[in-house]
Amino acid sequence: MIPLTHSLFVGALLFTLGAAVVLLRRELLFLLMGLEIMFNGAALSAVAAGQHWQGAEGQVLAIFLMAITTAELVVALILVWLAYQRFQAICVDDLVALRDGRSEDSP
Amino acid sequence: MSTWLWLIPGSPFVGALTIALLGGRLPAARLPWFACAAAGISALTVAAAWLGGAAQEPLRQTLYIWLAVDGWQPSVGFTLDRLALVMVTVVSGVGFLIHVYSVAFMDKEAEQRRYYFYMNLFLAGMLVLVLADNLLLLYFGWEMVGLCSFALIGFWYRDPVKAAAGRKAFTVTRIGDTALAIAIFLLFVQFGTLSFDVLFPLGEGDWEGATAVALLILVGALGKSAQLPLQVWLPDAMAGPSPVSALIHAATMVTAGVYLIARTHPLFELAPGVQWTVAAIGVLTIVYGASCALAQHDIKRVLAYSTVSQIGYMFLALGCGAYALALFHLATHACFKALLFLSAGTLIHSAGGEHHIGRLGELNAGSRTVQLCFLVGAASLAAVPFFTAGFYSKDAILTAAWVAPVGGLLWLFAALGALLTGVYIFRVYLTVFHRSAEPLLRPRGRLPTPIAVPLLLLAALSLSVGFLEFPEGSGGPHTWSTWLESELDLAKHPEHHTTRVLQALSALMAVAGIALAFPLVRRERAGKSLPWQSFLQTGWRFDALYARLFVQPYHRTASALARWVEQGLIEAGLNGLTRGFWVMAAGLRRGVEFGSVERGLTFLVVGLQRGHAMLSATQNGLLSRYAVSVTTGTLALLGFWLFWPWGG
Repeated sequence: MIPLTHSLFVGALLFTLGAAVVLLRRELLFLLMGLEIMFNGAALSAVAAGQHWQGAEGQVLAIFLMAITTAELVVALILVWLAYQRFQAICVDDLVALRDGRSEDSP
Repeated sequence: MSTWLWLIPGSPFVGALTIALLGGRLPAARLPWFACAAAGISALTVAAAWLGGAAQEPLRQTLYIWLAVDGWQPSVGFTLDRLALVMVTVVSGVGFLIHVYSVAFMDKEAEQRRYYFYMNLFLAGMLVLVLADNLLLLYFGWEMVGLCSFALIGFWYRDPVKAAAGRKAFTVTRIGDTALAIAIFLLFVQFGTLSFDVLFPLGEGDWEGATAVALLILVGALGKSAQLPLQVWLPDAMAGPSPVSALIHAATMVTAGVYLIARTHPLFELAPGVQWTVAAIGVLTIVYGASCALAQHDIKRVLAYSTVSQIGYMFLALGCGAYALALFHLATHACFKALLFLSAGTLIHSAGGEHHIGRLGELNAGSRTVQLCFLVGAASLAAVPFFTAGFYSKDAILTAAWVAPVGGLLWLFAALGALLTGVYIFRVYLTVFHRSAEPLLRPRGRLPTPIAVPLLLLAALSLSVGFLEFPEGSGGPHTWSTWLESELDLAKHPEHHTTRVLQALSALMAVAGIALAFPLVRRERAGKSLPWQSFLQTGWRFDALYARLFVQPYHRTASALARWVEQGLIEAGLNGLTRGFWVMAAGLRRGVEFGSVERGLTFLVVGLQRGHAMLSATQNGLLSRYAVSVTTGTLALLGFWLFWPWGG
């Protein structure tokens, strides 16, 4: 029986790694992967907590998370593909169309 | 039959609406016939009502509840009892004939659409007035006919004299209308209802308000029916087209007052003093109208004063309790006066708008038919014994007047009026039609059919309607008064011998009047005028008196108010106020607007611009930066809640 703290530690580690990927990498696909890792960390914590309190909710939550991330990923991948097709962008720094254009000429 | 009752006022009403709204789409030549059809449907419905049993049992129809306030629910409802049946028959029948006459008479007029709109609307209003089953609806019809009368008197409104005549009629009748409105309010306050069915059985108790209400209703009737002292508008009302004078100012609208008093007669019986006043005003008006008619030169004004005088007979009958006889005279008068007006109109028309009887005589404009019709009308008006309708109706009123309180005096006045009637109308007849000199104008050929048919029909009626009611004690049938007995009490007549003597005397009066007309006309041809000519011609100088009593003080008060109150007080006050505001505004502009407000606003704008510049730097579109910000923020908040000693 693995103690709860161990599982939570692994979950937190996964989450932090994912967050680090999101913050440090610039490629769109890496960002998505980082997000997935963060989700996995959260799902792992949920399963571990469910196991600890002898309930099914943790596993249910994990299944829901999978379904939702799958759906989200579908949309996100289409957006990434469109970004490449329209703007030839694979890197997040190329997508700066929402920058406040008036920042230069404002007094 | 009851379900079709609405069609009687409804058909001319729909006709009026159609002419007003869609009249431009109808071909102009069809418009008169369309209006005639609307009037004709109404007359046909009345005929159907006669056949459908309205003569036996009252017909009723309630279209809808007009207002519903708690227990008070005046309806748009019609009752066709015998009294109303007489009125609708006269109104729709004469109205239809006059519509037909108008087709030829108004042929050359430019604004026929307006004319027929008001004619149809008038007919609808008048029929609503007589069919109404409550006082409120009656008042609605009352005002509607007043409006149409105003609009039709001033039909040729580009002539300022004619427009002024319309205004005068409207203003003078308004006095009566206001009194009637107050009477309706008082009745409502007392009884809480305005329905005739409920009101008049209730009115039989002892009620001291009856005198006031009866008096107010009387004033209303005086205004509409042009009786002393509110008669001044009717002679001027002749400014309208002749068919209008015939329909509104002779046959129908001016008799609305008679109908109103007949309808509310239980109230007058509670106030015998007021009822006697009705008779007294009636006889005074008879003599007044007849004497004024003697001195007029305008053929239509003669007829107008004659109308005033004849309605006086109806009031006399009402005042003596002889309601059925008042209605009888109303019906015969409608026939012969409409006939006189229409033949006078034809005469004026063919003489190119000439109204003066002397010149009409010189022009010799009348054809044989017109002369015959005018003669029949004049004979009926003068009550030539045995042949004419006027004799049967007027004679009965005279005998009924004898039994009223102070009946001898009433009879004397009325008989004097009868004498004068013969004089004035045959003066006109002889002056216009019996001119020995060579005529200047050859009579034209045949009259147009729409003119000839109504004339001949009305002439036939003027001779025959009288046979419905033979004089008291003559053994002939009394169809009229026995038929109306269930609703209007029978008139009282003096005992047999007195009646005979009175009848003989009044017949003699009529004949003597006609005989007197011959020397009068001869005198006038010789260039001599009547004594008091100008006094009589100006209608006993009532106009001048009213001008001095009411019109001039009113104008003077108005101009004084304009000068002192409006210019001196209100305008000066407003000017001062405006100037004060100007000064205040200038001061505020300098002090507040340029000072604090503008400075504050500038400060705000500059502050906002700086803030915006600072915030704008963070909006750089770089997703990773945003992610860093979100993460940092989240961590900071988490740290704050979890580890800060006084957080969370």
